[in-house]
Amino acid sequence: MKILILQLARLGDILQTWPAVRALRRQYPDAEIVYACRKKFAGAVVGLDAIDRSVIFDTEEYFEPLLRFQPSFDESIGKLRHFCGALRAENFDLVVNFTFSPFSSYLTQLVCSQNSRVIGYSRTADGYLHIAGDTSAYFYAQVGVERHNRIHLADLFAMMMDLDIAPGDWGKPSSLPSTRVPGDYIVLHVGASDDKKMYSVWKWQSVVQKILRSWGGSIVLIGSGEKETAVAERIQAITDDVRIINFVGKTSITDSMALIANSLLFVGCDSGPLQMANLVGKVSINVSFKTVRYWETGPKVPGSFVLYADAEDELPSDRVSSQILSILNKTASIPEAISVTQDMICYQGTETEEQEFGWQVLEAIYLGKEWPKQTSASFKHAIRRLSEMNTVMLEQLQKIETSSQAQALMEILNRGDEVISTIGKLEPEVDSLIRWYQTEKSRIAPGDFGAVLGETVRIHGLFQCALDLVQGNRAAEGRAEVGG
Amino acid sequence: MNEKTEKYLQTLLEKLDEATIRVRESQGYNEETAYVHLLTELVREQVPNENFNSSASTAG
Repeated sequence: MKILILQLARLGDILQTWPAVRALRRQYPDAEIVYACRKKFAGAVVGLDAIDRSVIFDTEEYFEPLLRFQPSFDESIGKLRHFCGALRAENFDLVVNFTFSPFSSYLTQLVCSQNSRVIGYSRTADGYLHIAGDTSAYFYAQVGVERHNRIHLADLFAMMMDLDIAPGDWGKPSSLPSTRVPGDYIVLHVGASDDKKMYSVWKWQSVVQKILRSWGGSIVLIGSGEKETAVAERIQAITDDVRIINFVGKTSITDSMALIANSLLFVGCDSGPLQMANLVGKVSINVSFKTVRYWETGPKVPGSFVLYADAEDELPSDRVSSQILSILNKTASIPEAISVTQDMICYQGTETEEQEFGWQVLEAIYLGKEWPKQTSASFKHAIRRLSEMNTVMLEQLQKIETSSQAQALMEILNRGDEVISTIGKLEPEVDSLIRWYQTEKSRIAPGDFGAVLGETVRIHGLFQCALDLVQGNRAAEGRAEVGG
Repeated sequence: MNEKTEKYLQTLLEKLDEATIRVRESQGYNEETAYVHLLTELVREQVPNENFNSSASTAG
């Protein structure tokens, strides 16, 4: 069996696939597993013992003809054709696309041979997005900032392949250097995967000063790139204390991982190094804001903590330094710290009623749990309007017998979908349910008229079932019908 | 990314979007069209505020 894994996102995204890829190896011990990633992040698969080899996608190579004085689309496409053709010629039995981007959906389609089974995003024969698998559909509909998913991406990647992660799937690379600094130290990653996820320099300066004043160990700064180099230099400039050790831009991915593995604690925002800490089993403190969903990318090691604030200016530096010192000195955590447990839903902290309700709705839709009670008039009103609209659409669909009738009714159905979408925008608490409905409709495969109509009627029927359950108009045994 | 590169990529993307529509209208969706889409989306990923390149980004 030959399996191709595609992860064309960034460092942290690749590291988060490691446990799932190891689970895949356990499932198929004799398979040839090939991992494709971008050249810039190729170091992130070094030491991933579950794969046989990696394939590098060199973005610069495809851009080079576009950046000339006379840009050549044809030459870029020729190079892409060469890359995809070589992979397609390998005849992979299974192609797993972990990337969830439009680009990767086309790439997946183009590297598949006729008999390849696909998991994740691809394209249909007529070019529409093809979402293969219920977990991929869940990902499309419910994962991301300002949504309510609470399942970590590492677990979702395994679930996409119907696999469970075993404790041994979290682990260090096969060979890790002995990189460390003498004595006790903590590792601080001074950047983040995105500017909007960063903690300000002057706050890190303050955190570092407080730690050095109250604790005898060293602080090792890690990171890469010009921006993080500048941040590290400014942190180092606040004192002549030799216990600040600046390794920013000076370590490979495996060196950084080794430094983290040999430390007492990792501290950082949403980033690749946080995922390194997860892999090497290091307790961490994750500084997180509204711009990132810690439920999906936060610490996984029990004993770790998330320090969350809606905005960067709402998280004072003394809160961060106090939590770091509480771990180093083994004293009580600050009350605002969100603790990490071993469970699948691994964060225990304070969530607003609205956030709690949002997750309960997802549990009802996808896991067949009871629909949460919602007493707000606007929610009830939105559900009633959705039910009325869907009933009209279902009635129209059930009248259709020929494709010409379908054409005539298309405008009404499209208008109905617009109304449903507008209701979701006006009442965010029904948005998850609407996204489920929209995703399922987008998954209807191209086919003959009867099959497409039948599938459309089925999805509207399930949507009605869900709306009836929310309104208490249907018996409880109908619950599981809705979940994917 | 500096302003000049960003502007250049934006212009390139507009041309690619136009080419995608043209090819799709003339040929429908086939392997050739898929490659034009592939290149277009590869460029779109590099243009700030067009597409957030991480696992949690969604496709349409």
